[in-house]
Amino acid sequence: MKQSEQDIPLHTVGWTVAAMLVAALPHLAEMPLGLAGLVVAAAAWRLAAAHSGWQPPPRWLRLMLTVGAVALVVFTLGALWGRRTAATLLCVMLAAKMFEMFRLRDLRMVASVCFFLIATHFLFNERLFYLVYLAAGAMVAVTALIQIQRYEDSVLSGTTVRVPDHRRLIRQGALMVAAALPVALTLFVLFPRLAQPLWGLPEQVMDGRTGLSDSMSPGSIANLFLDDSPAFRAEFEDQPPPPQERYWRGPVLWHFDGSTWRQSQFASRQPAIPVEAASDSIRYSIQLEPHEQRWLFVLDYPVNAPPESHISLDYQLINRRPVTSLTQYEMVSTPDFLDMPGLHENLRRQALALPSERNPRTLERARELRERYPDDRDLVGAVLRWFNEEEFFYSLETTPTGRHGADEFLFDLRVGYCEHYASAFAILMRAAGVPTRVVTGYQGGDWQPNGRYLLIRQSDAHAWTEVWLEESGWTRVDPTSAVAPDRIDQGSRGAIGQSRHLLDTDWLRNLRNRYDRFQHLWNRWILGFDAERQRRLLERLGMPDTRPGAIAAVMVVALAGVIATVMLVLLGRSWRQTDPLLRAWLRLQRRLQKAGIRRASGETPLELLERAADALPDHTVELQELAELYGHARYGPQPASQVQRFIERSKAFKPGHTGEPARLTGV
Amino acid sequence: MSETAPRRSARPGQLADDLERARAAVNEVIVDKPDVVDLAFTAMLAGGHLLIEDLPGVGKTTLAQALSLAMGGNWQRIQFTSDMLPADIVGVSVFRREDETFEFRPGPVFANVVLADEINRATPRTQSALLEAMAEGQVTVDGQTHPLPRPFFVIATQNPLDLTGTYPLPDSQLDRFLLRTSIGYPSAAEERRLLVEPDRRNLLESMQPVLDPERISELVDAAAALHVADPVLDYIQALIAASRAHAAVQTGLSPRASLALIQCARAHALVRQQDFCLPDNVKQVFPALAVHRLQPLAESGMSSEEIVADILAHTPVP
Amino acid sequence: MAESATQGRRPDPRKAWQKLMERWLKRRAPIHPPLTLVYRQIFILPTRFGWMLGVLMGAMLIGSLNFNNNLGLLTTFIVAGLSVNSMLIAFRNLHKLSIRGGMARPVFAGQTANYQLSLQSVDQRPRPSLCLRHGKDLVGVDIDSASAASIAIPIATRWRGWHRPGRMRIETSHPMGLFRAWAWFWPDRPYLVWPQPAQQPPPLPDSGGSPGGQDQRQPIDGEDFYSLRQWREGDPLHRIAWKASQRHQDLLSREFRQEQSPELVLALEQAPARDLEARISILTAWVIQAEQQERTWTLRLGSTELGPDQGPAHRERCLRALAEL
Repeated sequence: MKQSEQDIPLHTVGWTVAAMLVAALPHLAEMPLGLAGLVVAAAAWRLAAAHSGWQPPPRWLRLMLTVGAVALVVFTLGALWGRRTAATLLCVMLAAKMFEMFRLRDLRMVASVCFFLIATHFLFNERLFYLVYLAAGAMVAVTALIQIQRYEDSVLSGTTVRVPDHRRLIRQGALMVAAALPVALTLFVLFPRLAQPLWGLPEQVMDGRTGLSDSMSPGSIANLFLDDSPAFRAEFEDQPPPPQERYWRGPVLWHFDGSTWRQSQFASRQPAIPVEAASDSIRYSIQLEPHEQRWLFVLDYPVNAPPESHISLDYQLINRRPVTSLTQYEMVSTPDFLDMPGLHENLRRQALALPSERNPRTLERARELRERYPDDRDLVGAVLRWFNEEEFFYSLETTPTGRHGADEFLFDLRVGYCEHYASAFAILMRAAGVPTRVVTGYQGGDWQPNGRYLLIRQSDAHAWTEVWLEESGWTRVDPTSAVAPDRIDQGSRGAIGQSRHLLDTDWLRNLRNRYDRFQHLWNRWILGFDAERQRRLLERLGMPDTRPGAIAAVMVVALAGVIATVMLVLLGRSWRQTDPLLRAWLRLQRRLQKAGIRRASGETPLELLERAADALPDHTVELQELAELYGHARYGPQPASQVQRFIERSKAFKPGHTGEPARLTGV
Repeated sequence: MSETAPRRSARPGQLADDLERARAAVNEVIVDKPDVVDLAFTAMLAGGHLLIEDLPGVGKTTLAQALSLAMGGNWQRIQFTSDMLPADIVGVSVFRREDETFEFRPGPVFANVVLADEINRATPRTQSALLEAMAEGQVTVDGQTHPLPRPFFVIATQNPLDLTGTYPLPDSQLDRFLLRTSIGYPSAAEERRLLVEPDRRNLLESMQPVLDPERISELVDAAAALHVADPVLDYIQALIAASRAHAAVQTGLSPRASLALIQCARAHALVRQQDFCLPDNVKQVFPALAVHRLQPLAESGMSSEEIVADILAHTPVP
Repeated sequence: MAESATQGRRPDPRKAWQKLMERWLKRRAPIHPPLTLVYRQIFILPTRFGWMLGVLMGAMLIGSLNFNNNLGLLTTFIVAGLSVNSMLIAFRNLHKLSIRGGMARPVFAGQTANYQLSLQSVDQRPRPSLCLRHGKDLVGVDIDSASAASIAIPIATRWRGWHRPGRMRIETSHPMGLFRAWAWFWPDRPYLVWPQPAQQPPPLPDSGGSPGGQDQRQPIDGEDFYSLRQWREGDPLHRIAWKASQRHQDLLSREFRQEQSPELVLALEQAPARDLEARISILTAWVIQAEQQERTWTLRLGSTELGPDQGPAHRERCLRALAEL
């Protein structure tokens, strides 16, 4: 026993280290380079130790290594305690474990924690591609566990530890994982889901994930422009709205401090005035990629709020908790709605507030315009005309601006992205006394004709404004459209002339769209499978009661059935003969067994058939011929010629239970 | 077996027919014991020797005589007695006074077929002279080596119960015999026929040799070349392994025994007129081959026969 | 471990518990080999590692449910599936395994007896990673398809006589060490332990007359006829084998040699010791010596007498009689 604890050979340690590395791979990619290097180095050290028979380092050194590793994580990632930090810590701890992984139980622990590490990664990314990661990780971890057990057994039995056939081993691992699927899928479909989380999720879980944020400052949306990853997908019951109507409303920003726009606590807490569904309402469903924030994206104006969410006064759809996993929701939106015919004094104040002593040129310009256009509508039109007719450019290449950002933009640079236009426009409007707010969200989307859904990418992020006008209430005004109408009609790519990066070619985009179709199905059926979908699926399958208790009962029954089936397959004829001759022979044996003739232990095939020929007088000739055929086919010098004949003849052999004379089957 | 065994389809040549005729001739004399006769031919065609152990009167000697006659060639019968000397078997060097030299006078062992009757009556020294000749295929007298004729086939008989004044072959010498078998009593019907019909031993006198040394050599070669498929080899290996693993066995079968098992299985298949070897052949020669080679553990309370039956009953046939 | 049949027993709660278990198991299925394991005899429980993985699985489950993370859940459920299959495969590894035989070659007390069992897969399925456990001893074996495997478990011996090995356990943690399946059985074939030979036994009784047995085995003359050889000058007349000489037309003379030394009688009373066990030890050593010197001896134990005889078989008979005394 003691011997097994020491000097575990390379082939056993190797699989465990491999399992650790595969499971840690995506985590490594997200880690600071130094930490990732340390993890890999620790794994390499363990392999070298197994190869050269090094002893574990002394205890104090191991302790120091562990403490040092944890300290390093805290030092590198700072005090920000997010899931990313936790996952990194787990990886680093596993790496530290490499230095004390000298007993079989340590190996097993590492191999099994790999599953945990894999599951952890899905908190960050649940893309379809990572199914490959799950499969590979599970396979290698299982292989490691099998090899550990093999090694332990060979140590116990005192036989020399043989180097395993690695290809066979990994095949065994793959087979184990594949065989686990029936149970896993049954549980997946039937395990009751939580409608509400058990404990609150920390709000501060965001670790640098890109996406719209709850504030807007110059450059914050332009940063998203290069990000092709999907933000969400929308499916429509009827036709999707035309491109210029695809404004996906996200955070509505009221407060401006001179550089950054922020939300209004007041407006986002107040309940909305209900919107009625109408004949021109749009019905659609959204699959929202996790973005760690609480808002959901909708078309104007949302009629209903999905469970666990509410609609705020400024028609943001706000979820109760951050969206940390793929979320699906069904929406109805009515585009024709008069938002706030009368503006409350408090809100008007908020929608007109501007920091003092900022952007004096803009304020001056606003005064001039106000004097020329006393009517709010004329004023808006004049500004848009100004944007359109003067030398304003829509581009990503902007110059950082200083204290008077709007001034610089409007009068000096005149080059900017949607947030520059929205921000400058809003400042101008407010200075002229028109209540204005900034709305961020997404605009546009790629129509996927095959999947019949609209794919909205991060690069579709957009900002626009809403001004409050007498009689029309809050009215959407998109200053970007005045500068670059293509941005609205053809999406973000249309607005910038050149391709955004090297890989931005048509066929690649096409390929990506095609892949996204699978991703969409994946999201819809796997990731979006929540308590609600589960309930609906079971109802469609005819289950009357879909309370969690009933689902659990069904799960137990189904699981028992699946396990029984797996067991039958395992115990039954699963020892599946690949040789067709032997398969035919076993079938013949089964048929004889049904006729009451069971092969005795140690009986040769010909002895059995001879006995059968005696016992079944109706089949004597047939059985004798089968015996001769089988003898030739199995033991003869040229079996190939006889095999097929035996298979055919044995297939035809059907001993009747009644003992009815089978003259026709005679040969 | 005989009904359903694959027939040797259309193998041209006298050889097979001759063997079949020899077999038929012996079966004519030894009634109702075809399996024993087949085993005897098997031992011969596998190039080994045969030991027949049974009570007096069941026809040991008759079988041996019939075999010897059917095989043709020159044959010798040695009736072993207690005062027999090794020189009486292997021969002796004689001093010739005329030319002052020794001359070798070959003993009865110099024959193609030697019938060693009641071998246990001779002293161990005399026995071992025969056994050495059997093992080596040659005889050494006074430092001179004299090869025995080929083929060389010894059929020895021994009475297991007649112990007084005899020297039963020691266990260590038994494996010089490729096969050991017994004949057993005839069935009731057969016994009746023996009583009614004229003595079959008279048939011996009219028996004509069917084979000759040359043809036996050819048959031995043919047996050695017979096809043995992998599953049959697996079966042989499994049997040997089982004999070693058996809890009641002190020493299992040696690698030499497994080689002998293949040879016998092939020879048996040839005797049965098959083109290739079946597990059935292995199974049928196995007891005759294994029983006298296995050493049962004294404490097990199991005899070799029981162990062999146990092995056969529990070794799956592939 | 080796419970003694001849020595006194003291009541032992563990033994009582075993008896109870034995009775309970016996009602379910045969417990003495030969037997074929079926579900009634096979028990399965997670190993320590299995429990650990269970806890890990629980953590993964709660975490994934809470974050409503379906891929995390899928991972968790794959681990669950692996566990379930592990259990089934461990069970399958024992199911329809036949255990036969059960005996050990006799050893001297104090030596280790190898108790042999033969295992065979009834359905010809390969059975990897089987372990036979007897007390603290553990022996492993793999069974390939079709062939049977013999497994020998070492048993430490202390007292002479017949012993039963007590209960044994065949177990397997195949394939991943998550579950251990096992079955109890009680081999009922006893094994023999010979008495321990005395360390420094007194010389063989009566061996004073002919010291150094070697000379006796190469005598020139003796009573037993040995062989026939060419007559040489000086051979006495009565040695000439007339009959044989006539047959071979040459003068042959007979050679004789003395094969055996005088007969030995080994009796219990002769052993110079007070204690019965000590005497038995001395006799055991004598028997071994006598056989080594290829002598003929008689063993006298009270009224029973074995021999005169010689050779290993006689030795074993004598040793057995001494063990059973």
